[in-house]
Amino acid sequence: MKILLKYLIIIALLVVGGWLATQTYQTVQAKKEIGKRVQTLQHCSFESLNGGQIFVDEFDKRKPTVIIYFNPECEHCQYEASEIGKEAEQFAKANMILITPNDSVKRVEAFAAKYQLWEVDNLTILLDHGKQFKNRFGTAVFPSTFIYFLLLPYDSISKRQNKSWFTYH
Amino acid sequence: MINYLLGINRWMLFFLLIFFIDFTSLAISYLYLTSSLYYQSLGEQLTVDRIAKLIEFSQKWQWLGYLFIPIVVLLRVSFTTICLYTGFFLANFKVRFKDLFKVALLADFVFVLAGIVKLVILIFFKEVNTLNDLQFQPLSIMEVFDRTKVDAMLLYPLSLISVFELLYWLVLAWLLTGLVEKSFGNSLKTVATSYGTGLALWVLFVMFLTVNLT
Repeated sequence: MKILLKYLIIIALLVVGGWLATQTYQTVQAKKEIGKRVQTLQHCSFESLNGGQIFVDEFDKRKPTVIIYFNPECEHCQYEASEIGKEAEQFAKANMILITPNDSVKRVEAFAAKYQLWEVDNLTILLDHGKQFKNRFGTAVFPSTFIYFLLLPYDSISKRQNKSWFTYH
Repeated sequence: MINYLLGINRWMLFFLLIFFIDFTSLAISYLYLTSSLYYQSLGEQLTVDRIAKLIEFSQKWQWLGYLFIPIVVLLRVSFTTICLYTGFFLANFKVRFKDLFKVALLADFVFVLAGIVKLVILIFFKEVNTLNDLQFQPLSIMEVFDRTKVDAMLLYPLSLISVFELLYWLVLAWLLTGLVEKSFGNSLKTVATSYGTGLALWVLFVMFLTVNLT
C-alpha cells in the first residue's frame, strides 16, 4: 500500500509537471503565431449590436483603425471611454471599433450613452462571442488597444499593390 | 547551535519572522513609495487625476498588504515543509511534520536577510527614480539582464535564481542534519530532490499563469 502511494506521488508529480510544461510551450508557440498575425489588420468579423456581422477590415482605409477590447464593468475601460467621449472630434478622424465580450446589448448601449460614445463619428461597437477576440488578437485583457495604419505609397487606395500595415498595440 | 535553533518555540519564530518582513516592507514603503515616485513612474502613461486616485487607493489598502504577509509566509513555509515531508516519505525516513515546519521557518530567515540587503542596496547604492527600480531582486541573475527586455514568462525564474535561494537550500540542508542522521551532502541531496522538485513545479505553474494571463 505504501509503495503504491509512493508510485502514485511520483506519477502525479510527473503528470502535473509534464502537463504544465506542455501547456506553457503550446501557449507560447500560439502567441508567437498570433503575434505575427496581429501585425496586419485581420479579416475577421464580430456581431454588431443589431445582430449583423461586421468585418473589422472593411472600414475606410484612408483612416487609421483603432480596435479597443473592453468590458463595461472594467474601471480602466470606463475611464478610457470617458476620455474618448470627451475628445469625440479628435477620435472621429479614425475608425473606432470597440469590441466587448458577450454582454447584454442593453448594458453596452447604456455604457455608450453614459460616456457619450455615440458622439464619435465612425464609432462602432461589436460583440465578441466565444472568445473569438482572444483567438484572433492573442489577448483578452481589458482594455486592449490595437491601432492600424494602412501605408499607401501613392496616396491612393486604388493602387493597393504596395500597401503595407503599420500597427501599434 | 543547530539543536539550540531547533529548540526555539515555533510561534516565537513565526512572529519574529513576520516582524522582520513587516519591518523591511514598511521601511521600503516609508522611504521610497512617495507620491512623487508614482508621478515620475506613471506620468507618461496616466493623467494626473488617475495617478492621484491610484495613490489614494494604494494608501487606503496598504494595511491589507501587511495583513497578507503572515498568510504568505505561512503558505511559503508550509510549501517547503510539504516538499521536504514528501521527500523524506519517499526515501523511507520517518520525520515529524512539525519538526520540518520548524526547519522551514528557520530557513525562511534567509529571505529576511534578502530583504535587509535589498534595503541597504536601496539606501546606499541604488538610485530610485521609478517604481520599476524597487522591483529588483538583490544578487539574482535577473540583475544581469535588462528587465524591460526580458520575456515576462522568464522574469520570475530569473529572479528566483539568486545567492539567497542558494543560501536557503544550504541552510535547509544544514538544519536537516540536526534532525536526521545524515551528512550535510546527503541532506543537500534531499533538499534538491524534494524542495527542488516542488520549486520546479511551482516555477512551471507561475510561468503557465504568466503566459496565459498576460
